[in-house]
Amino acid sequence: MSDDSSEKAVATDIGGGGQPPTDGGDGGGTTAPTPRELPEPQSSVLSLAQLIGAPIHALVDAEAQSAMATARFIRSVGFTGNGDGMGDLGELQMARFKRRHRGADGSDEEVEVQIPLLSMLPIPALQIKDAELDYTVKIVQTEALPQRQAEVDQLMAAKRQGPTGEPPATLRATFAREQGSNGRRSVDMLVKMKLRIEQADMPGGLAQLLALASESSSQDVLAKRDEEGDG
Amino acid sequence: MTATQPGRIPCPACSQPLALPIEAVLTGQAIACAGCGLELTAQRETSHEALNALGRWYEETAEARTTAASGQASAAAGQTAKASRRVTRPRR
Ligand SMILES: [Zn+2]
Repeated sequence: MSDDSSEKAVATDIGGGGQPPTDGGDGGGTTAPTPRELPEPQSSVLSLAQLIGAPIHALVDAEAQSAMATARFIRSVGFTGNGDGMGDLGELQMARFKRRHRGADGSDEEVEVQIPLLSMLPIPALQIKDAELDYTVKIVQTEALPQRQAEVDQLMAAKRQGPTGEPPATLRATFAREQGSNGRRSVDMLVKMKLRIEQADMPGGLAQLLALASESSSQDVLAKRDEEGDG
Repeated sequence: MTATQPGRIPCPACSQPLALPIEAVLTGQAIACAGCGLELTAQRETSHEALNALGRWYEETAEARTTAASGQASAAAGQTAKASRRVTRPRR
């Protein structure tokens, strides 16, 4: 498991985009450390869950940021209140239009039509359609978790089943290098991420907001003029 | 009125979907309904705040629109180029 101390240097890249190892080697010349020699939780060696979880967490964060951007857009464009912060929304921002309308009695009516700005604009709402994460990790340490084992034992006892053979373990890992085709080291590989982003389907809440906005469109007769033949 | 696609509103007279081009709204051009011939014109005097907000949005998204349009254009050009290559390939 922990037969290659050079992996520790690789792993520093995770912490803060650090330098690649300067020995330039593949770790062949170093003595293999025993598990005891590995420092306990260090920044460069993370639990596998942390390692896999971090990019997924980033994706969730990105979606949340996208949703916040949509909300900010709606506040700043769709409402009269201060667009910044989370204060009062104010009123729906309405654009006023004029239209000519011939009344039943033949007179020309000038009608004002109020249309909410929100129903006139495409609302940006991006979502990650799919994400492909490709990890190259090297397990450098396993660590038994007696506490978890106790929990599992308890659960299993409750189900009247025997204890599991292997204790649950935390795997500690680093992102490993990817080997070149000739077996020599190629570039450092951390994690490959491929995202496809698309305009989200209209979320239910947003559709409701738009429906309400549309319903608030209104028409008022501004002026009534006798037939002048200019309609 | 019910919600339609963004950029389209139900015509206030005939309820058919009526496209509201932002440029026309901002410049005060009359927007005609293809269904009933109704003409809508934005009122600059009474819609100051809304038109300002719309204008800001229009300016801020200009670059994105240009990029999107050029992307579509180059994609279309690529399609045309492929098609013409196919057409002009000499026969033996
Ligand atoms: Zn109409």
